[in-house]
Amino acid sequence: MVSAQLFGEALSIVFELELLLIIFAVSLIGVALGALPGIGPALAMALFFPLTFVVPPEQGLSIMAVLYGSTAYGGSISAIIVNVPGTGGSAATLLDGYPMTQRGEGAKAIGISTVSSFSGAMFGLICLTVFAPTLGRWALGIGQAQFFWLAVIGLSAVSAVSGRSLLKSIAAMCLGVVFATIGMDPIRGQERFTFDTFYLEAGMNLIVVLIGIFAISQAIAFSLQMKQEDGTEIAELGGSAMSGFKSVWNNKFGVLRSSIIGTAVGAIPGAGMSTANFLSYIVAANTSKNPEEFGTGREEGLIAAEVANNGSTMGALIPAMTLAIPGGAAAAVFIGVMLSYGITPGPQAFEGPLPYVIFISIFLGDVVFLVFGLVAAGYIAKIIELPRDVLFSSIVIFSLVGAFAMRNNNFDVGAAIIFGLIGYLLMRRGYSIIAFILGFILTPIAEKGFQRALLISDGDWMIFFDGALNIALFLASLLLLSSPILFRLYRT
Amino acid sequence: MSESSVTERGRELLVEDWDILLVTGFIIFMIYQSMKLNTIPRQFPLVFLIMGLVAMLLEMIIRLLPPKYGDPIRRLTTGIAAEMDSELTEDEEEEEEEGEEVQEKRTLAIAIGLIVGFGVLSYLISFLLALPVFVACSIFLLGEGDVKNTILTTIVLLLLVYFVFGDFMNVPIETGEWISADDYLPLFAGGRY
Repeated sequence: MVSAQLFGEALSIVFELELLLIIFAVSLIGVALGALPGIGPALAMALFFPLTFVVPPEQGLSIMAVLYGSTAYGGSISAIIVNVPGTGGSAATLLDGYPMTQRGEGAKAIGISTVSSFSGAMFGLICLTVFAPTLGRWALGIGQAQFFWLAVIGLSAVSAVSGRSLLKSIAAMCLGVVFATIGMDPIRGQERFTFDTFYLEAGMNLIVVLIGIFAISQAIAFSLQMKQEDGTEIAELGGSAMSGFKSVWNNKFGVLRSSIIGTAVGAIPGAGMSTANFLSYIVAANTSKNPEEFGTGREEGLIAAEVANNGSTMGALIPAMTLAIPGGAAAAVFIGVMLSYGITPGPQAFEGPLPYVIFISIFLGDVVFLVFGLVAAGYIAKIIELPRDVLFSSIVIFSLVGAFAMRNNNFDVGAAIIFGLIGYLLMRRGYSIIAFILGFILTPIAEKGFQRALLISDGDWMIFFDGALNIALFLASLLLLSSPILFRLYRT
Repeated sequence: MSESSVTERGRELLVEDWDILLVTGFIIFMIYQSMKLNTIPRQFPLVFLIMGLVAMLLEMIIRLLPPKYGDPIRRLTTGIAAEMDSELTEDEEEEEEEGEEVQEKRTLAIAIGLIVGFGVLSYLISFLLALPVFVACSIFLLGEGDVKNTILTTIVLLLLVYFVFGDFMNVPIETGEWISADDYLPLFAGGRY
């Protein structure tokens, strides 16, 4: 149940001019970054991570949550206007969005996408507000072994994010775990894998790793696309964005169905925006009276894709905030931000007005993108014309200064570059970098649960299989990890 | 994939799939390192190192198996996400294969060189002074080499970095190992430094 007093406190925190301005600015920046092909929510959040050091947790987490939602929406702009999805979660959007632009209904498509994204995000936000505190309270009663298993379920999400090879992604996740264990062991304080290096004693810093893996590796990838994508021209936008309201209203049942799909898929570990986006689109096409018209600029297709991907961002935050199980890469980064503030996902995340500050900020951020999407999406879209060389320079500069800013340490800059190269190699050779990040972020939570459980049981490993909940969580993680194999076996 | 002997597949593994050997080697090295630790601190990483080793060994075995046996297993262990993406990216991948590999390697080397160079330069002469050099080099070596773009990007990034990191977050972006803020900032910062 939402506490009126805490909600009131949260309102007073959010409605201070400083946070309102931050939400406004971050939402706009998020839309612009999302519209840039290649910059997804995770990369945008990694770039913003260093800025959160200088603000209190309420503001820092609000910045990240708003950025998550607005970047997810921004991806649809480039999908609709130039046929290139800004984020992976907008891949299905272009199937009907771009044909609309081609037939002179670009502004209408943007309007539909904006209102759909807002509707999906609102449904997801309601679910987040209702279910997250309940789940958080449930997490109060669980033991250390269960905490370990919950983190393992998060790690098992590697199966959903794996690319060409599940085995390579498992290896990438294990590498992430190993890099996260560099430094002091969390219970006994013994040094591990430091090779007598002073820098490694403090462990690998999360922000440095995130900046390297997401930002620097992506900048390297951009350098190879410069000649291919420069000279992108934005088509004339025809139609009226405001007519998006009418189109979405006329498809209200489709909106509800896609909202449920999006939020539910988002909450599944590892499934993420792309899966929600495609699944919702496929369901809409299969249940339509005119499935053959999907892909030719059908409004239902655009609505289904956009409602679901924004719903999934909110859905992903439910297990992330309550059980430290990330729905995707961006949710994993969000968990990382929580941990950097010393807030462990679970009951601790629901103390005081903090969750309500986040929820209200998300709402306001979504209102900002709704208004600006309808009024000025065409202007925001101009950012797509930004030359790739400028983008490359900007990402590298912000990333490396951000890595340095954390501790004013030049070794962090070097480490970010090294992780960038590792990330690029992993990406290039078919290892999932999201799997690596999942391993890195979830290790502190998993290991604390693991070691504390063993301390309680005096070293007896059977504590991890003691009781029905432990066994159920173990089976769930096993099922999740082997799901691609089971799925294919079932199909054949 | 055509039928080939174990030796040929082994050679392919060495030449084309070197990453598998590299990752396997790294995991074995880390397992060896973890064996030097006490029991409790090593347990957790060791569990995952062994899991990673098993995954990599399986990947290796799948590649060494004759295609008749290896390909079905490989299909079975392909991520679901890859199947979804492949429909959309198929054409792009083909284009990439047809592209000039040498040119790509050159661009990659320049990009990595620029990033490493910026890291070193920022340490030596500070972020503020390294920034214009990096932007100019990036635009001229990787991009179109447009002078107007270079100047505009430099000014915008300098202002952003200065106000966000230098002013708002108090990060010493104006000081390097060889040069300090006193040497150049008083000229236009009104003696603030």
